Parts: sequence; C-alpha cells; structure tokens
Amino acid sequence: MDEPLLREVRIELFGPFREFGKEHLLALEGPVPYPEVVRVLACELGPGFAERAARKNTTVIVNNRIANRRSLEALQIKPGDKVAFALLLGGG
Amino acid sequence: MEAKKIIVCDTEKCAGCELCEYVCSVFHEKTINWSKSRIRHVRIEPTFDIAIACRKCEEPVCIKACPRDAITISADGSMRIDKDRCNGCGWCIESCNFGALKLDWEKKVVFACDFCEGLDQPKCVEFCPYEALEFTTLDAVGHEAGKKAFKRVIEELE
Amino acid sequence: MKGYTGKFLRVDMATGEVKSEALSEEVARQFLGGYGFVAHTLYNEVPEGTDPLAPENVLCLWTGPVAGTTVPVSSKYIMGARSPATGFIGFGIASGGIGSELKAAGWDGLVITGKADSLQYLYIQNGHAELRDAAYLKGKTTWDTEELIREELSDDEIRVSSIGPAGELLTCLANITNDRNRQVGRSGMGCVMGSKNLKAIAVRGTGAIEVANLDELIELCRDLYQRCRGPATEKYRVLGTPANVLVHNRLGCLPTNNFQRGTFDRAEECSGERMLATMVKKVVACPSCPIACDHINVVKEGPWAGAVSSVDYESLELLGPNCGVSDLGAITKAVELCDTLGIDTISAGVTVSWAMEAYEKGYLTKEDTDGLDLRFGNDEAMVEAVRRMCLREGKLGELLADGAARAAERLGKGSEFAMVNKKLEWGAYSLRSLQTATLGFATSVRGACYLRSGSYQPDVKGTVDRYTLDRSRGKYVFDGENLYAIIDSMIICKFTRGIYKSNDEFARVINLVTGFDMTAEEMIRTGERIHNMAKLFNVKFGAHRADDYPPPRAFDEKMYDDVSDGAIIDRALYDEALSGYYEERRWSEDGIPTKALLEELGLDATLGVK
Repeated sequence: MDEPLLREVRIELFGPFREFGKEHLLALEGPVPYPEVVRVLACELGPGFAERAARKNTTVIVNNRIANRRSLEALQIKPGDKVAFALLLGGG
Repeated sequence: MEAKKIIVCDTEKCAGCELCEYVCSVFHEKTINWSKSRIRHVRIEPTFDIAIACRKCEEPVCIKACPRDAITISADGSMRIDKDRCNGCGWCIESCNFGALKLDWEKKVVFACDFCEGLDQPKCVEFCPYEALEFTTLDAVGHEAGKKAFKRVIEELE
Repeated sequence: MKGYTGKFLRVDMATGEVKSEALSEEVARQFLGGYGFVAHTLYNEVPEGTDPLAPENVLCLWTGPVAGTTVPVSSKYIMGARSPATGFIGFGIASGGIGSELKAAGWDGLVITGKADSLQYLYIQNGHAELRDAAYLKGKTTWDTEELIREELSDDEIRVSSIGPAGELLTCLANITNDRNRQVGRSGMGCVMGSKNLKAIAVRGTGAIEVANLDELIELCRDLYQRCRGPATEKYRVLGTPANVLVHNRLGCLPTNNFQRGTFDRAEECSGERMLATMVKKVVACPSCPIACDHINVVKEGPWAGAVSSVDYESLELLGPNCGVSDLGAITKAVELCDTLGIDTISAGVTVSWAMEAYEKGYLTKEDTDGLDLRFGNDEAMVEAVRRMCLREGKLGELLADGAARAAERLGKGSEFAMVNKKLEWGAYSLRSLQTATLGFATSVRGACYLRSGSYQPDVKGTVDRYTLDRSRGKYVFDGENLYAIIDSMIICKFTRGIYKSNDEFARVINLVTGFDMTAEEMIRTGERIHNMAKLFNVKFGAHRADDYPPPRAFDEKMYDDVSDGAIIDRALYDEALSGYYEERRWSEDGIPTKALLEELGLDATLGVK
C-alpha cells in the first residue's frame, strides 16, 4: 500500500478487528479527537466497530505509541497519523 | 407419548475440558470425583472430542445382557439399576456400545446417567462452558442438521 | 485442612524405595503449594554445591491445593530442581491431566532423589506407587511413550509425563511433556529427569477430591466459567497468543533475526490471523478449562505436510521471525520435533537464531554445520538444526544441544549475541523496545522469563514509556511477582487471571478449597514469602547482582528498524531501575534479601545480609 497522503489517516486492523477489513484510509482536514475518528469509522464499518473499539480489551496504537486507555478521550489524531486497533496483548 | 430426550454433544464445540465429568460427580456424589461421572469424555488424538452418556436405546442391550434382571427401563427411557439385584458383574458394561455404564467399586454396583431426574436439565448441560451439550430429542437433532446443511447451500447460492 | 491430600511420595531412584510422607500443615499455610512447595523443598533439601546432574539433586513435582477441583483451570503441576541450564532454581509449570490425577491417586506431590541403574518409570495409582522397567521405552518420543505405557498397563486413562530422547541424552534444553501438547518447558527439567534414569511418570487416580466448602465453590465456579467465555479471555480463544505477532510487529518489538530487529517483512505470512485461516484444525482445552487456548495445527500440504503440533506465540515467534522464517508449515514441524523429541521451543528457537547469526558472520562454517546453509530465513535448515539439537547429532547438534550460551563458549566466540540471561534463552519480547519487560525478564529467578511477573504489562498498556527505564519500574515487577507467585502456587492458569475482580477473589478461592481464612493482604505476603524462598535458593547457589542483567545486545547495539529505530537500553538507567527494584524488594544493592526481611517473612535468615 502506498504511503498515506498527508491529509489522510491510515487505519490498520488486527485480530478480531479484521472482521471489518484489513486497512482503511480516512480523509482528514485537520486534527480531530480520537472519539470522532471512531465515530466516522463506525459510519463506514458499522456500529459493531464502535462497540468493539470501546471494549476494555482493545489496544489502540497511534504511530509507535500504545495509547493509554485513560487518555483516549483527549487524544488528538492528525492527518498523516497511523492508527491500529487490536486486542490487548500478553501471554506466550 | 412424549419423545425422549438424551444428551447430545456437538463434537465441533466440545473442547475436551471434562468439566461435565467434574460437575456430574459434584451433583450426584456430593464430592469431586470425575471417575464417578455418568457422562464420559473421549478424545481421539489429535482433535476429536466427544462427551457421551446413556443413549436411552430403544432396545437396550444392557437390559438383555443383565443375568440378574437388575436393569429396567423407566418412563423417560433412562436405565434404572436395582442396587439390591446388581452384583457388579459388569456384563452390561461390556455389552454397551457407548461405554455408558460404569462400576462404582465402592458401592459395588453399576450406574448410568439418570439425566438429573427431577431437574429441568442435566447439570452437565447447564455447566458446559462451550455450550457443546444439549438435552434434546433425536428428532430435533436430525431437524437441526438438515436445517444447517440447507442454510449452507443457500448461503453459497447467494 | 482440605484441598490437600496431606501426603506426598518420596522416591529413591537408587534403591527403588517409594514411601509416603505427611505434608506439614505449617508448610502448607506458609507456602501454599505448587511453586511455593518447590522453592521450599529445593532450598531445604538440595545440598550446597550439588551438581544439577548428580544423584543428590532433588527433582520434585508438586500440585497446589486447587488441583483436581472445579476451579478453572486447576489441573496444573510444577516440577523443579536445580537447573542444569542456569545453575539456579529451575522449574516449569504445565497443565493437562497429571496434576489432578495425582491428587485423585492420593498425593500432593513427589520428591525424587538418586539415580537408578537402568531406565525406569514411576507408576502411581490409588495408594500405591512403584518403579517399573522402562528399557523398552528408551529413545521413544514423548507421544509414543504415553501410548506404550497405556498399552502396557491396559489403561487408556493413565496420564503420562515423559522425557524424549533429548532428556535421555541429558541436553540442557530437555523438557518434560504430558498429554501430548503440554510441557514443563524451560530450565532443563527433562535433563534432570534423564540424569536420574527416570523416563516417565504415569498416574491413574480415582479417589475423591475434598474441599472445604463445595456448595459455595461450585456456585462461584459457575460464575467463573461464564467469565472465562467473555472479553477477559478473548485473546486466548480465537487467534490465541499468536495474535501477538502482527501487533508486536506493528510496535517494532517482534524479535527478528536473533533479536537484531523488531519488525519482520513477512509477518503477515506467519501471523496468528494466517495461522487460524490456514492451519488450525481445532482449539482444544486442558482438563477443567473453560477457555480453550490450545491451537492444534495440522499441516495439510507442502514439504511439511502431516506435521501436527500445538503452536503458541513464543514457539511460533522464536522459530519463525526470530530465525527469519515465515513458513508456518516449517514452524509447526519444528514445534512437533521439540515436543516429541523433548526440548523447549523457546530455547531451541533462540539457540538456532544464535547459530544463524554466527554462520552469517562467518564464525561458523559449513563444516561446523555439517553442510547446513544456516542462514536467516532458511526454513529447511532451521527445522533440521532443531532435529539435530534434540539428538546431539553431528557437529552441529552437539554444539547447539545445550543452548546458545554454551554453544558460544564451546565455539570460543559469539557470546555477545547469545540472547540469554543466567544462561537461559530470552523469550519473544524485544529487549530494547519493551524495557519494563526486560527488567522483569532479567531479574526473574528462573532466568529470562516473564512468567514470574508479567512485567510487559505496563509497556503494552501504554502506562509507561517502553523505550526507557526509571527507578519506579521495579514496583511493577515487585507487584507482578508477588501475585504471580500465588497463582503459581494455587496453581491456576495465568490465562484466567483476568477473570478475577480483585485479590480478594483469589483469596476466596483459596479459602473455599482449603478452609483457610486468608485475607488478600496475607495472600500477597505469602506470595512475597514464596518469591523470597526461591530467591534464597539462588543466593545459596551464588546469585549476585551481575546475574540480573539482559544480554549485551540490549546495551551495546541500537536497534535499526522501521518502527523502533535507534532503540537501546541506557546502562545507567537500567542500573537505576534495577536498584529501584531491589529497594522495592528490600534486598541489598547486590540483590540479596536482608536479614530483617527474611525474619519478618519467617524464613531462614542465615544467607541474608544486613
């Protein structure tokens, strides 16, 4: 896949989130709060996506950083960012 | 006559956890002892699992086999073992195609599943975490299988 | 007391004598069971300076009080001894049927000493145990051994723990397998078993398991089983732990090419998602488990067609991306070889990846590898190297059989990239991009292990900056270790930890089973005691601060990588974090428990420091 254009956010989906596809691109004019990104994705992918994203066992990765669940509400997503959704890790 | 119900195990859902055996012993023996469970888990490596209990056969071989007429068939189709007649010879165990009978070496008599008589459903069915067990009639099993098969055909056609 | 049978077996392999001994209630209350009992037994019974392969080394098997009960997942057991790999406390915890079966047979554990003249196996039934001739089992795989013993004794329900040929050949990587897919994997317990000429332990028990409050317990369990089907365990049930592959890759912490990199260009091909879609035949459960995490791969086509094994994240990752290999068929085959011939998959993967780096650097030639082109990504060579390691076959097999650290020693070079701590191979967590994890791994009493503390958690939850360390990180390791010591002593499966709402609930389970009246605080204190007991064993065998460091690669090389480029562990920061951990633990700067702490915990303070 080509590098996302500067005015897009690349969404990557892993594990059970693959029910909604593998990757998506969201057009973005400027920074938006994380909850808004989830809302827009839910419009495209269905309400099941929002429900799953809200679960305690979901991990959200923004660029290289694992987002702390407590700071998700306030997190700003900018054009050019990469956001990944997965199950919380652990175990061998 | 009301169709008799047996415990049916979905082998795709059964993961071989054996909790049915634990739970059966808890409710029948008031202790944890899976060797005294009425339902038995069988695994054929590497991935086949089934839990099996008495099938309420229409023509029970165990009844024919018993030399002391200790086994009778009750109204719901389950096997009743007369503890006074049974001497633990185990001939019925050998005759059963499903290994549904067991010997209680402490009480020295044979036992089989009584489907948790008096309760809404057997405890193993209630507790199975995988919902692999169902307390149902053979007719319903057949009907479900047919429905499932045709659902798949329809999905493929769409 | 309930839960426990109150008895254990002492086995003298030399004389064949097997006798029953009483379990002390005081010891049970102080050390709970499982891991606690292993630490207690080994500290008290392994004489100072005992060589791990000497007859005097004690090989013990312990269950916890919940074994054989309806508690999920309670059919666990632990085996421990002085480790031939590390020289420190060695042990491994496995599930499957052995733990509950031994309880049903009437014993809480086994303490085995001595060495038999010829290969034997131990057969345990209700109230009776004996050593039996195992000559016909010599060289047999662990799977065949289980079948053959069941045939010999005409009983399909016997549970068997056995070593493969690797254990008989006394390789430091040798493990113990039971119920086909479960292993006492790490620290070479199979090697100790082989050194005693003990091929297998076979158990058949039909007794009842007594608990203190069965009615309340079964109702709690009903609820616990439901929780085991919910979000807390989702990651284990569907994709299983291989779900970690793509996420770790995304985070730049997927060890690749002997931990040089944190991302792998072919991660999709060997991902959990791909494995589920193409290779998993079924997901099965251990006895008493409502989760079912055991993903059984069956390879249907290609050069590895016919291979069958249970594949989880560590095995997949270290034999896969860590060796540059992406072929799931090859990985499944390599795991099958490890499980049947009897070595630990983690140590196998990291030893082969060491050899691959050594080969690519020219330290090993084709002559050293008996002709194998041991480059990263050569899946055939990886599988073949694994097979030879299990059997000490050829120059290569002999070089690699005892792990990466010893291979480097034998070669005379390459120790700077032997990814070990305490000479035990590192797990599938990238050192420089998960630094709290690294602190936990390196300070682990067993060596290179996260199972003692789950110290990767703050890293992967985003609670801390995973690319650096500070003095406060020790608290995460400390808290994790104390709770995990309890989990490993009850023994319940760590995959159920998420279903418990609080420490009070763990304590409630203990109390319903045993009739004890433990508070959550007392329980954590017991965990602290158990951990210090294990640490004391290590101190007895010469452990110091220097043993609690990650391998040189962590400090000396920056990661070059798509995601974690430039990541490195700052040595001064690591020292701070390590000191912070010791401080939290109330140990000295050298990592030795203080006398004051030991006395408080009711432990022998002889080896403590001021």
